[in-house]
Amino acid sequence: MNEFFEAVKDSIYINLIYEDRYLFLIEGFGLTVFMTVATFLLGTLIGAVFCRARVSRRSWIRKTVEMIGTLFVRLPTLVLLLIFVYLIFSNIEAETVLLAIVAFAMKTGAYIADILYAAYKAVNPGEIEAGRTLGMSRLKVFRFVILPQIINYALPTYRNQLIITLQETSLVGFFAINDLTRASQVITSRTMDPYIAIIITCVVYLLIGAVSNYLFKLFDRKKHLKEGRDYRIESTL
Amino acid sequence: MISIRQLKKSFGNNVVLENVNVEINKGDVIGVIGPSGCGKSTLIRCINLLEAPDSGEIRIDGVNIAEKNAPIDSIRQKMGMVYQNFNLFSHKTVLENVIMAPIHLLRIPKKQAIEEAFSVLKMVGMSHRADFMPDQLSGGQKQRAAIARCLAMKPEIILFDEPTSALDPTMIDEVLAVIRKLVKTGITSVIVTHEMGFARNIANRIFFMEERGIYEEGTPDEIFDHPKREKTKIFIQKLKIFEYKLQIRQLDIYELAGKLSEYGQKYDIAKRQMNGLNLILEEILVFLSQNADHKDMTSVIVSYQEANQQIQLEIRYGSPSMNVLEHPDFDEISRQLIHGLATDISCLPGEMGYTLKLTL
Repeated sequence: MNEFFEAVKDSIYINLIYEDRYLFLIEGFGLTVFMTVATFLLGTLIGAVFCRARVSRRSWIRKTVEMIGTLFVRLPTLVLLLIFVYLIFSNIEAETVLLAIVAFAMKTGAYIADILYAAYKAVNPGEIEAGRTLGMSRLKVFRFVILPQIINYALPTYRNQLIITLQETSLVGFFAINDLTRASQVITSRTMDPYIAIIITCVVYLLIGAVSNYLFKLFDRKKHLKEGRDYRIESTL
Repeated sequence: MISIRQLKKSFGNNVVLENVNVEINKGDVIGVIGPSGCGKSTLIRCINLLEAPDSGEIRIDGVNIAEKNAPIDSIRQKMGMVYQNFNLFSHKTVLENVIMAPIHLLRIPKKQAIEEAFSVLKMVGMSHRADFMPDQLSGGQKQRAAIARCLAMKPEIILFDEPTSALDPTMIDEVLAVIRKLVKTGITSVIVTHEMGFARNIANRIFFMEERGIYEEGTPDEIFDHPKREKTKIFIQKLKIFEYKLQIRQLDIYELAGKLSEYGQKYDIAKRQMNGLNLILEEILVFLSQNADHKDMTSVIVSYQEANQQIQLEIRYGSPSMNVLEHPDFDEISRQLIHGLATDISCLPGEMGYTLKLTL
């Protein structure tokens, strides 16, 4: 038993403490969180724009956007990343991290556009008409009638999308960018002792997921307690 | 208040409204009736521009909303609309539904808006359901909440687009009662409805729509008791028409009987009445076929009034040029039989020579 603890102690020392390797992991963690958040925000923006274009009255806009969306959905993320880094921006001096964020955001945006579009279609068109006949402008109808319902309908899938984005960012290791996954890999290759680094990486990914879930729930409760379906269930109980 | 000129509206190649001219005055209560698909809803949807007309003018208080850049939002604020499917905002409570437009459009402070909301909710009998979500309500309650939402904007005109068509029969009355109460306040309203009795009681003018426009217009008594035009009569009296035309010398009484029984089954006409009808037709047509000139055409028109279950029989024939029932060769027993079965027997010179009319 003692021998086991000794081994664990050694392992922790060599993987984390020696040469301040834990900093490497923390930096990787920071980069992963940054990329995820940036990708997700940019992706949401792209998704919203795509979704708006998809309900456009002009058919050529709808078709173009649908085609671009399909392209991003069908190409594997890694291939998309390769295209961005080695083909489109090969001659331009740019941070690979930024390029990666843009590439991920395009992909995430295509998915989010789908999510938002489905949610928009779930809104009863009669309610939009009702809003208009009360005398509200298009913008007001969107803000007070459509948007709150889109949020209600989209939130569960949107939440999953964050986790998917989080996991996809680990692909940047391919370009020697030290995110969380790559950091643990680098440490492992130095120490030839995979256990501690990989276990820590796993736990951190799980934690990020749990925290984001918690934040979403908080948002969901606070903002939509009265509007969400939970309210109805609670009030009928 | 509302004045429509030369309105035309089509969907693709399907012309729904054509050359519609309407004048609606302040305080009018208009009942719009007509068969399905005659453009009733389209007309009412054109009035607040939910459907853009192809051509023509729609003036609301003098402003032509069919024009581009018409200030439609501000006009809509004065014009409420109640839908067949209620269309309450499903993510908001009843109270929130009612206060949304006043707060964001009329800029009324929230507290005051809530007070006013409760007074309209009270009027439609929904104040005890203010905190409910729409899908916790029954159909009738939803519709009353939708009416309250409309009233909160203090409209000058309310358009009702078949307000009871999506409701259970048990809930229709509660909604009609609310509308009745509302109309008594003197608000101008246009009500598209299939509830004939309701339209008759509540409206001061009735539009009967058919043939891509307003086919006949009048007071409820004129339209319901003395409709002038053919299609209005058919619609109001729920006439079911059967027509049969033949060369009388080639009479095939069995073919006619077959077609008649099909017609009788389709409209669920009582067996006893159908038997009487068959008997009368047989007696008269057989007599005609033996006494008529060669190549004489005869037509039989049966119209069944669903409302009072009466059958009107019309036989138009060319010869003999007199009332067949008074023809000297007409069998006496048959004559008595017919007089026993039918009432209101008349025979006048008509389209094809003579027209014999009987009521069963």
